[in-house]
Amino acid sequence: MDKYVVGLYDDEEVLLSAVKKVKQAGFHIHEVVTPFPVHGLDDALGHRQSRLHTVGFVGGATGFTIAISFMIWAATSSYPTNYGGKPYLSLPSYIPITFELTVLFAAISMVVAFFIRCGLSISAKPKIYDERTTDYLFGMAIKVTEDTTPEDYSRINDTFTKTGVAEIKVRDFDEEK
Amino acid sequence: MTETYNFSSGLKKTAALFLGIGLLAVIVGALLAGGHGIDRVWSNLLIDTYYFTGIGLASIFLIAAHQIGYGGWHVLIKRIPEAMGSIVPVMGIFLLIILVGTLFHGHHLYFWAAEGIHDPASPNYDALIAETTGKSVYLNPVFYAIRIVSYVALWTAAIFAMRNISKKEDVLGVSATYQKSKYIAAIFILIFAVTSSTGAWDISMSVDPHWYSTLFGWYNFASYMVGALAIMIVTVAYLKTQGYLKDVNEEHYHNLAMFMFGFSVFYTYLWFSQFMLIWYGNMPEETAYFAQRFSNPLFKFLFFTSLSVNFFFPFLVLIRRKSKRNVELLVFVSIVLFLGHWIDFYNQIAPGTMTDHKTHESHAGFGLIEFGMLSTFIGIFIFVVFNTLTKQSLIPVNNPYLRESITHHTLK
Repeated sequence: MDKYVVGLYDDEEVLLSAVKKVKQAGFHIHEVVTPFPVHGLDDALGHRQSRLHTVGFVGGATGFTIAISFMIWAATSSYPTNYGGKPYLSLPSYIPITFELTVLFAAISMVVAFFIRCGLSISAKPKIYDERTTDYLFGMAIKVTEDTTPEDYSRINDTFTKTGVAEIKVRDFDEEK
Repeated sequence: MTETYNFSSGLKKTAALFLGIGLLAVIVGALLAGGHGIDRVWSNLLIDTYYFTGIGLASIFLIAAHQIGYGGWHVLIKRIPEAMGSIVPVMGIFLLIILVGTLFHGHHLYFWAAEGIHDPASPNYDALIAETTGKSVYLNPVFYAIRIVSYVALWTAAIFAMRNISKKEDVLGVSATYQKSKYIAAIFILIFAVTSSTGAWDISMSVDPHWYSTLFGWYNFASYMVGALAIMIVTVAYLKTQGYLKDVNEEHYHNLAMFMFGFSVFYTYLWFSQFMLIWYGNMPEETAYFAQRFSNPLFKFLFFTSLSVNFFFPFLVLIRRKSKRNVELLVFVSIVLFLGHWIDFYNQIAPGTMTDHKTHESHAGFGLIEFGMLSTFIGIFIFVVFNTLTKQSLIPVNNPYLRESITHHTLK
């Protein structure tokens, strides 16, 4: 069952305090969607630091190793050529290409990792709680299951209302399939 | 909200100590060094004057760039780079002293200004400079004097205007000054865009007049930008220990450190671009510059020291988010980088000024005079900058971006 109660807010300050209050009330926030980055939201949601840069480091290190080892191999053992009287193994001339490949690998691996992790890969079906969250509304989604009782629903509604919500809606992605 | 800075007597004593010990070391060093002692003093005067002029200009540039780019995070610490700009007029006096020395042959810093350089009969004759198609079109004492005097005048006027409008903002409010401050910042950047390059050619690159590099100005700019950021970090950390700038937190250090990291990498990028093209092209008139620095053990040692201190060290240390937010570590890195770029400037200027151009014999040294002169300039710098800090509120209360700066936050 893929069903959510979504509270839509129209101000980021209200949203920030709402996130804290909803968490205090004991609900698990499944996701918060905003039209632009909201400072302090990561901390309020208790997110740990993104690990995207680790992907970047691994990708960069791969690019660095591939570039430098290929050039050393090509210039010293596969096809040694004399350029301007320089030694076969002349590291300064490898640096620009090594730099480019490091950046390229780091960038591409980070983009790919980001798209996969955010569910934006080509085959992915995006869950859009409300189309207005890409424009001017901030959405906070709480996941509900078969076990959720009508009392729980009303408690969620109450909490949302108390935190200054603009609109509450229920989305069931199973029904829409 | 207004905060007034008091130049504490403790700091005054420290500055006087830097100044006194420095001067003493220069005098003792010059006496011990013998025949070439005076040349070394002139050479170091040029190195430190150039470094501190650049630091003052770079800090004003940072403010100007934020001003026209709608930057807001820096407003809390804005008065520190503004005060650092006030070192430029003082360094202008030293630039003019060096200029007078150049015009009246009081020193041998610029051998293109030597007597008889245009006279084939003279022992000083230099064909590359003297020929009508040669470099004397640009490098002749009259044009040089015009340039140096106009740099000093332009820089002083622009920095005065920048600081004046910021002072007015405290009194008259933002609506009277906001638009005008943007114009002034834009004019400063326009002036700086040209003079940072030509100034670097005139003051530093022309000690090796046979050699030239077109990216020299930007390479130097990156260098003193790092120096300026390093001093800013140390100053902010110092002021915080004295109980000022309570709203400054690790977010602001983080931004300063990001700039320092970025400009260190930018510095290396330009350093390497210059080095690799010359190394690969291997043309005698270009390679001479590096050949001179590789044939002398002192210069060779400093060459590799400067590379490792100015690139590998900050790159490996500052790349982590946590180290950008750790004040003690940042202050340490800042001091190391400040000295590292000073070594880089030494290695730019001293081989040119301290080498006999006929025998190619180097009289350069690295000891009391070098450290003494740096210490003297640090003393002057503290006196001038902290004295300027007392002149106005440490926090620009009327700045429209003040709240943005206080709540500034870097995304994880």
